[in-house]
Amino acid sequence: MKYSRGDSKKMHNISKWKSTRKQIKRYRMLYLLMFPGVIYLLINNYLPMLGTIIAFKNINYSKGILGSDWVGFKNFEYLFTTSDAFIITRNTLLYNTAFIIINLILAVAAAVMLNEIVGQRLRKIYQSTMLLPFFLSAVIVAYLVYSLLNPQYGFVNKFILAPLGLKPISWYMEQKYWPFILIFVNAWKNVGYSSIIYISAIAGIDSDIYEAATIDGATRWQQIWSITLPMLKPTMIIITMLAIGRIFYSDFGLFYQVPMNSGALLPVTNVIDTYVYRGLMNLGNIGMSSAAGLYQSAVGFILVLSSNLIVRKISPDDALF
Amino acid sequence: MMKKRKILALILAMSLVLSLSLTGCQSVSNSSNSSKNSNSSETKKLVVLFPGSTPKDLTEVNTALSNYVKDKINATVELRPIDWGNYKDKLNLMFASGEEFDVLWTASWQNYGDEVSSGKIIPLDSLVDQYGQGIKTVLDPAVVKGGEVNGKVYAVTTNKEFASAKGITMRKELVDKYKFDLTKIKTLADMTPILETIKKNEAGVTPLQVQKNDSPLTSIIGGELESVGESSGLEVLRRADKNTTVLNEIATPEYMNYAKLMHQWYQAGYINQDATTISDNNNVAVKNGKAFAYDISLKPGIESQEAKNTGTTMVTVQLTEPYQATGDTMSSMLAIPKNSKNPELAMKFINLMFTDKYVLNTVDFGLEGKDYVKKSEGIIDYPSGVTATTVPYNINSSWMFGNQMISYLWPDQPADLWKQYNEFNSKAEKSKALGFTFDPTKVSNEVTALSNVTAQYSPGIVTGAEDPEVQIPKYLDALKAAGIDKTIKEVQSQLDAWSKTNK
Amino acid sequence: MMKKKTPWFLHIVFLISTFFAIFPLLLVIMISFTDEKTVQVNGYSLFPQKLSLYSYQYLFSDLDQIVRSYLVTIFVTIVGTLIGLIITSALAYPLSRPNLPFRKGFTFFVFFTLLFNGGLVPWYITYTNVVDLRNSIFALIVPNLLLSGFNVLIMRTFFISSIPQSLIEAAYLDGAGELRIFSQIVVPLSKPVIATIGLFSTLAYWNDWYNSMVFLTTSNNFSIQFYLNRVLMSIQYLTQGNINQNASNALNVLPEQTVRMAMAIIGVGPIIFAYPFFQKYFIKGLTIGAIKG
Repeated sequence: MKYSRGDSKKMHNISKWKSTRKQIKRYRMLYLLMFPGVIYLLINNYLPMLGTIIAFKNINYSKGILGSDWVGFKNFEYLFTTSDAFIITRNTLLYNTAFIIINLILAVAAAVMLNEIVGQRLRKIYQSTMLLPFFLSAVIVAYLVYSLLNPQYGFVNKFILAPLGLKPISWYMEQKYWPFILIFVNAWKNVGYSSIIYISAIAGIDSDIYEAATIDGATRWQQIWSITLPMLKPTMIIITMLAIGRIFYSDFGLFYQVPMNSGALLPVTNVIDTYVYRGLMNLGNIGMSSAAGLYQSAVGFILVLSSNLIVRKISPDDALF
Repeated sequence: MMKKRKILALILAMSLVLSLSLTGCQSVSNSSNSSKNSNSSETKKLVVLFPGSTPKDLTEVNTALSNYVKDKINATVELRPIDWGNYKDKLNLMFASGEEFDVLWTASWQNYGDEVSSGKIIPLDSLVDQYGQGIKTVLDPAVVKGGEVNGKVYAVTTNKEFASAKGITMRKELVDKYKFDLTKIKTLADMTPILETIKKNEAGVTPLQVQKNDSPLTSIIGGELESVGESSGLEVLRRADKNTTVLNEIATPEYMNYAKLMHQWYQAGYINQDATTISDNNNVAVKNGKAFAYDISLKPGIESQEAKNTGTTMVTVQLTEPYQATGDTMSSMLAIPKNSKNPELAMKFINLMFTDKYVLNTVDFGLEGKDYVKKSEGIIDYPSGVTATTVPYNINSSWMFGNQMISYLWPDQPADLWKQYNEFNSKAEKSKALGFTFDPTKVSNEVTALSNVTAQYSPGIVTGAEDPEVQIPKYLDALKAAGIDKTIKEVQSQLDAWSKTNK
Repeated sequence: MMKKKTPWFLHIVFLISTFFAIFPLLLVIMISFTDEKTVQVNGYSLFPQKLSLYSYQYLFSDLDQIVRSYLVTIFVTIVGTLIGLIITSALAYPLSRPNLPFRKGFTFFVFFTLLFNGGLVPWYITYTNVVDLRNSIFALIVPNLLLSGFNVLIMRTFFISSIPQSLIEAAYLDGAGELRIFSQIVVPLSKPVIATIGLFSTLAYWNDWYNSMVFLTTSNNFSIQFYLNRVLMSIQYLTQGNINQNASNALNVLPEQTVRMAMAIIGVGPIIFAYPFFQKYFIKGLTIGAIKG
C-alpha cells in the first residue's frame, strides 16, 4: 500500500494519541492524586473568576449583578486618565523591582551564610530571630518606625542627629529618604521568611557532593559558588517569576501605614493599591475596584509569560511551562 | 498490594472529606435556616445593621427587645453591630450576595449618595406615610426633606442636633489662671495673644492641638464655606452669598487667610509639630496634659461632652453662628435596604424608635439594671461599680437612632438638653442648599483623582506646616489636572436643577 | 568529616541581624508593660518610668472570648495545615514527573490561579451562594488557605530537583505502584519541603483574620488575630478623616498605645513556640547523604 505524506502525518498523530492514552493509563494513579487539589482550585479560584464581569459593569443593586448595565472599559479609566497615573505606576514598578532583586540576594545570602554556621544550636537561634520581624503587623511596624523618626521625640533626631550637632530632619515631610526607608523596612520584615525556602532547598542537597568537592581540593567559597548556588537556581527562578507575576500589587501596610499616611510623601509612597484605596474610600463602586484588580493581574500575567519565554530560551528545564 | 489499597482509600477519603465539608456546612446552615424559617412563618425577624463594637450582652438585649416588640408589630428584632473598620467591606458583600437585612444606618459622609444611586436602598415616601406617623409628627418637615434625593426620601433622619456652630474649646483651669477674657474673642485671629501667653508660660503644653483631619482650617471654615459636592469637600457655597454659585474652596480668600494664620502659628510654635503625622483625636493631647485648646463644633451640651472626653473642665468660645446645612441633617439616618423582605415591618420598627421610649432606650443603652439604672425621671447612670469602659452594652451611639429627644439623659448632661437642642435647631440659619445631595456617579474618575490630590496637599496646609503661598498654587494646579473644574460644573448643574424644583 | 570553624565575620553579620530583629520586639514588649500615661508623655522606652499590667488586664477581661479564639485558631491551624499538606503534595508530586501527559497544562492551571483572581465579591458569593460556609468553622479552614498554588509550585520544584528520577524508575521496575512510590519513597525524602510548606501554612492560618471578618457575623468562633485586630482596624478607619465628630467620639473608648502593643504580643505569642518544631526539619548540621544513586 502506498501512503501519502498527509496520511503518514495523520498516522503519526494517531500513534502519538495512542501512546498518550497509554501513558495516561499508566499514570492514572497520579491523576487520582491530583484530583482533590484540582477540584479545590476550580471552586476556590476559577469559579470566582467568572466575577470579573463586575469590572465591566456599572453595578446597580436593584437590577442585580447579572442585570446591571455593561459599560465597557469605563471602570478602568480612572487608573489611566489621572495625572497621578504615571507616578503610581512608576512607584509600584520601581519598588517591586527593587524588592525582588534585593530580597532575592539577601534571602539567598542569608541561607548560604546560615549554612556555614557551625553548631546546630547557634544556627537555629540565628535563623529563628531572623524570622521575628515577620510577625509584627504593619501597624505596629509603623509605630516602631515612628518612634525612630518622630521629628520631635524620635530616637534618630534626638539621640543621633542632635549630639552630632546636625539639624533635626522632618522625616515625614522629606520625600527623598523614603525609598531607602521602605526598601529597608521591607527587607527587614521579609528576608527571614523568604530565606526559609532557600534554607530548606540547601538542606535537600546531597552532602556527598560537597565531600567529593573537598576531596578534589575546592575551597568552601568555590563550593558555594559552583554547587550551592546552581542547585538553588530552580528555586530562585520560580520565586522570582512568582514575584514578577505580582509586580503590580503592593504590600498595603508598608505603603500606607509605615509612612503614617503622610500627604507630603505621596509622590514617593503612593502605589496602585493605595491610590485605589484612597480614591474609592468614599465611593462604593465595586466595579472600579474590580477593574483595578483585573488591571494588576493582567500586567503581571503578561510579564510572567514574557519572562517564562526568556527562561525557556536560556535554561529550558527551569521554565514554568 | 494492601498498602496501595490503603493509600487509595486515604486519597479518596480526603476528597470525600473535602467535599463533605463543603456541602456539610450547607446542610448545617440550611437546617439552622429552616428552623429560623419555621419561626418566620409565624413571626418575621428584622435585622438592624449599624457600625459599632459588639456588646457582651447583645443576645440578652435582643431577646428583651424582641419580646417587647413582638407584641407591638409581630416581629422579632436582631441588632447587629459591625465593627467600624469592616463596615464598608461587609456592607458591600452583603449587598452583592443578596443577604437579608432590614434596617441600615447610613449618613451623607458614609456613602449615602452612592447607596441611593446604585439602588442599595429603597425610597421610603409611601412607607413613611403608611407606617411612620410617629416619624412625621416628630421630625420637622424641612429636615425630612433634607434626606431627599431627586425628590424622594431614601432615609429617615435621626432626630438630634441639626446645626452646628464652630469654635474653640479650652482648658478652664488655664483660662482662669491667666484670666483670659473670652468675650473679646470674635474671630480665630483673636486667639493669637492667648496662644502666645500659653506658649510663653506653659512649657510642654501645646497651645493649639491640631491634626491633619481636624484643624480650624477644616472645621471652622465650615461655618463660612459649606461643602455641597463630593466627599473631599472641595466644592463649596459661600454662606454669606445670596446666590448659589459653587466655588473651589481652595481658591477662596477665606482658605488662604486661614492657611496663612495657621502657618504663622505653626512657625511660632503654637501648634504641635507632629500635626501632619498623628491620627489621635485632638482631645487625647489635652487628656494627657500636653495641650491647651482645639477646634470644636458647638452644640448644646458640648462642654460636658468634651469634659468627659478630656477628663478636665473645658470652656468654649463660639466663632460662627449656628448654621444648618444638608450635611448636618444627613449626618445620621436610617434606611431600608433593597435586600429586606419585610420593608413594612422595618418601617414600623423605625417608627417605634421615634415614639416608643422603651424601644429607643434599649437600643441606645441596653438593659435596665444591668447596663444602666434610673436615677430620676428621664435621667440614668451606670450601675454602681460599672464604668464607661466596663459596661456590657457599650455601643454608646445614641446619636444614630430614632428620636434622640426621648432618650434618657446622663447626670453630666444638662437636664433640659433636649429643650436646648430644639431651640438650637430652630434658631439656626438654614442653608440655601438644605436638602440637596450630590450624586457623584458621573464624575467618579475625577473623584478618585481629587481624593488623592487632597490626601497629598491638604495635611501640610491645614496644619500650618507648609507655607501656603507656596503650596496653595501647587495644590490648585494639581486639582485642575485632576478635574476640579469638571466636578464644580457638575455640582453646579445638579444644584441649579434642584433649586428650580425646590424654590 | 571535616571540622570547620565559622568565619568570624559571619558571626558579626548575624549578631547585627539578631539585634535588628530582637530589639524592636523587646521594645514592643516593654511598651505593653508600660503605664499608658507614661507612654503618652515620655514616648517609647526600653526602661519606662512606670510599669503597669493594665493593657493585659484590659485584654484578658474578656477571658472567655480570648480562650475561645485561641482554641478555634489552634484547631483551624492544625486541621487546615494537615489537610492542606496532603492535598498540596498530592497535587505537586505528579506535576514533577516529566512524562506525565498534559503536565504543562496542569502546571499552568495551577500557576494561573496566582495571577488572576475574580475579586472579593465573587469569591464571597461562591462561598455563600454556591456552597454556604457562613458562620461555620469551615469558613476559617477552606477558603483560600487550604491550598495555594504558590505552595504547590514550591513543592513541585523541590520534587524535581531533589528526587532523582532514577530512584523512581528503579522502584517502578521493582514493581512498586505510583501511590506506593509517593508515600514510601518520595514523602520521606521530602521532609525539608514538607516542613517548609507546613510552616508557611501554619503561619498563614495563624495570622488570618480576613476569613473571620468576611464569613462570621453571628458566630463568635473567630480567630485570635481577628479578635485582636478588629480594634486596630476600627481605629484606623475612624482616624482617616472625613468622619463625623459623633463617630470619632467612639475612638475615645478604644484602647490606647500600650494595649495595641499587648495585642501584638498576644497575637504572636504561641506561634513562636511552635516554630522550633518545624525548624528541626530544615536546619540540619553536617548530614549524612540520604540517597545513594
